[in-house]
Amino acid sequence: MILPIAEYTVKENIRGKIFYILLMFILVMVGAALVFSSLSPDTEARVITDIGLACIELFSFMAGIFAAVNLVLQEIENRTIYLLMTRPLHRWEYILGRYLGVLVILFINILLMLSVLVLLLKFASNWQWDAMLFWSVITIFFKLIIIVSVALTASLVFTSTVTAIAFSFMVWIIGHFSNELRILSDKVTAPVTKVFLSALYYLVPNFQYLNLKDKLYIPEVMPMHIIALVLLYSLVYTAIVLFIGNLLFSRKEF
Amino acid sequence: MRKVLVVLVLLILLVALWRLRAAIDSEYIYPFPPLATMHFVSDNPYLELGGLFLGLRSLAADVVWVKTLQYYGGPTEGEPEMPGAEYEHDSEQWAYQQLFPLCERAVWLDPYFTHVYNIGSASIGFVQERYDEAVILLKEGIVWNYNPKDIHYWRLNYALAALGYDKVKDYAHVINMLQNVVDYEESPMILLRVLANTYEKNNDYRKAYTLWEVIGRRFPSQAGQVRNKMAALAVKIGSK
Repeated sequence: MILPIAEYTVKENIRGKIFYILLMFILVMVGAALVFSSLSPDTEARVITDIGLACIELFSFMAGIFAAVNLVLQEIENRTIYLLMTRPLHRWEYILGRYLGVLVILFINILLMLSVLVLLLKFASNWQWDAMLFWSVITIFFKLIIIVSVALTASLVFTSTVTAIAFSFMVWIIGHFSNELRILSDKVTAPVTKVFLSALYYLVPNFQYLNLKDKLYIPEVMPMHIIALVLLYSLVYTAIVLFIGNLLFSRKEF
Repeated sequence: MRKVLVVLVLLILLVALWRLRAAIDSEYIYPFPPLATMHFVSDNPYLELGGLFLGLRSLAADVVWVKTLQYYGGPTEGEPEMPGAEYEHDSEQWAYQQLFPLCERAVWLDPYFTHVYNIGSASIGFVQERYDEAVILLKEGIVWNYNPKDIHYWRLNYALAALGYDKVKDYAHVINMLQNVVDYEESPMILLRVLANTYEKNNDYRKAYTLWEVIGRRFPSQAGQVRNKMAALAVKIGSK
């Protein structure tokens, strides 16, 4: 039953015109290419790549958390969930199907945006294919795998769209600040603050691990086994968050 | 029984997550130096904070660099300043005093942005003759980009040596060093111009003429200036 739910979620998002993001992306990228080719011709490829990856990440992040937060809350509000729950469907199947549906739509979106970026780089500058660009986009998708699960679970905890979105945004920011948290917790001497910072460091996902787009221009190459560990870390973190989300959802009475 | 199973699964996942995190932390090298170990070089660090909080340091560095280029490529002497221009040029000698702090801002955000070291130090050192600032910038670049297998690392070193020779006006050595920095098909325009001007200072008019031809071919927007330079050099070659 997971696949039909996922398919239904994909269709629902397509009907919700989620691919308009692609149009926005094309507009931003073409504009950026035109502006930066005249302002900074020597670093044009770098600037277009950075803007492209940032837009892929931020547009997908926004689309992802809005879609995830509304997945269940909207169905509860519209009371369509009551109809679904009368069917022979496990609640974890429903949650997983909805979650996978959002990921599929985000994945297609990211692929399309990456294609636009590569075409633009090819035509607008003397850019050559770099495998790190591919890995950067993969890690962006893994960031989304985590944050969508967080947004979905937050929507079940708070049962409020605004609070769940705000919470997800906060996790996103703190997750990018993870390394700073670790250093701060090492330096701080007050025991309560130290415990608080350490707890935050371990509880919030470390998005810096997945920030390969900031490693594009660094002389050292990132070892493959570290990338593998980081991707595995993302999957385990997501599994825990979804597990908790499912526990909360299974306690709800419809 | 079900509750025990749930707790057990959750515990196993948490332990796995903790072990994974420890394994990654022991080997993972963060791309940028942490905030706690650095100082802010700007009074208005909105870009820096945005870059840090959203994981977009590289993009924030690009924006600062474009601001730097806009500042440096702003109105020349005698031209009116654009209304509302963010940076005022030095009123006494038009010396672009903000150039060094702006370059520092860019490399604070992304210390691996080699273009900033190359173009920034050439503009500050060879053009503005503020060698001390240029040397500081290049030395930072050399420390951050240490990799003897990478050509960019050596280019920074040669540029540093060239600056030293330029300071004592030993143009033959400046040329020797800069030829290792400049890649005729790739280098930024400022480096090609500095080399062409150094050829001229060293009375190598033919080499200077040839290099201006390359500059004209690669940067058509500079056609007017390139034509004037080549005409002046042609006269010098003819009278030699």
